Amino acid sequence: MKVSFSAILASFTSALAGVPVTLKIVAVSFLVAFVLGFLMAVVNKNRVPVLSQISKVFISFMRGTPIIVQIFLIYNSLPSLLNAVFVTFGVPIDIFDVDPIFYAIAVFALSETAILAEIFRAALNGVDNGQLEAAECVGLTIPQGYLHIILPQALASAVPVLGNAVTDLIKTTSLAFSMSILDVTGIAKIQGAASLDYIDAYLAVALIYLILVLIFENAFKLLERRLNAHTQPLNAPAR
Amino acid sequence: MLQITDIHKRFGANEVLKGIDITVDKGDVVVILGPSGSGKTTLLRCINFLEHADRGRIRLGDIDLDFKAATKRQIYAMRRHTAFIFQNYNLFKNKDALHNVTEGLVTGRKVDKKEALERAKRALDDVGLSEKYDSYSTQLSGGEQQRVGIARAMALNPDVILFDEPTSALDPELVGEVLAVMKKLAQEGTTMVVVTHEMRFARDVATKVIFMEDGRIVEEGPPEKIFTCPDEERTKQFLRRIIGDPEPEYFI
Repeated sequence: MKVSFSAILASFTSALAGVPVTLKIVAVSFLVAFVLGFLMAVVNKNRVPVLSQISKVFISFMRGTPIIVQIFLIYNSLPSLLNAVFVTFGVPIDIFDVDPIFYAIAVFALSETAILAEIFRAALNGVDNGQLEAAECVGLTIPQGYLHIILPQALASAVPVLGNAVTDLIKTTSLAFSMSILDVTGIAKIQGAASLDYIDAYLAVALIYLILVLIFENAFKLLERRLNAHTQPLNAPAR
Repeated sequence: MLQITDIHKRFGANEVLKGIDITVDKGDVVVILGPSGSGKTTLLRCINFLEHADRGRIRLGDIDLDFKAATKRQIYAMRRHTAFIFQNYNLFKNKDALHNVTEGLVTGRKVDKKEALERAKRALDDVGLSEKYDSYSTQLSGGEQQRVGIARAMALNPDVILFDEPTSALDPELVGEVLAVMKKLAQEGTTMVVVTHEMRFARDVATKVIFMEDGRIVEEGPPEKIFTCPDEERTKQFLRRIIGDPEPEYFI
């Protein structure tokens, strides 16, 4: 086994081609999870009948099972199941033609939804009830109150945790290779197999993820500082 | 102008309001007194549908609602005529003073943004906060926060402002500035319903004082009467405890 700098660099450059794929999976699944997770948190907080029970079962399932098992379930079992359904009902969709990236996004979005739902639940609980009451009293409807008053406050307090969730998600998407997706990890695996220089390829991959995570971490730190600017006044001490 | 009839409210086994009737005329300053647990705050919150009363009617202007049967739309319509001042201010923490005031105008009442800003500035100037337009609640003292709360209410041009113990959470030296603003409002003819423990305010500013205990109205009347020769023994006892005996018990 030998580690050569030039080989790492070569792997690094070719694995970089997978960065857009990785970021695409991260971005789309995070956005989907953001919306679903928030709705789920609102449903749970207000104990909406039926929906809140469903979301509780969903959350405990997603949190209680390893993501690789979820991948197996969705990527390997769902298509056969759907295919059987489609064939029976004559739906003209060839399920095996679907780009695997859709499955990847589905898996990561769903598992991220469970995580974000819990984060938002805590954040919503952290906003004082009086804020919504005050919003109602100045003539806002409850949805308007959520949108203009509750959501911004909950988000501001959730930003640090959301940052962690995003960096976790970036790393978790590396499992997309098991759905034969050519993301950063997928490319590196193929490269390693071709050249038998697994170590070089994996070091390059580690480096890429490290850089990605650092970028996102700092972006979220900046965001956090901006959002909290008024709660911790820098020059005027709070009275 | 505001009339409440036979309002009832219970929390589980605890009956908090046991049938209360109140009439408030335009320009009235009605002060509600009473020991804690007497239902004063619940009454005020029921008027604005922050709590849902179990029984009773409310009439405000030409709106006439059954507390139990009111729909969301009717409640929103009613709230267009009222404003509420909270004990703990409840300023929107994600907005500065100016936007605390404009929020209800712009989002709730669809007032043009420019006009809303002007009205908000005028309201903040009126409560003496012309220097604090862009301060967030964390940068304001309790008294300043409550004055923003009052400006937020005034800017809505409500028919009646409901005050829920507006000075109870304040440091003693900040109570004065808030009471002064309220007094000014009263002199301008604003209709107010005030739950408070500030006896001097009640005596000097109120047009009517209501003494409540245990979910019922014990006695009501003009302040001169309630504070000097109340009919009910309970009112006497309560006032004696709060204000103290006219004859001091101790000499120093």
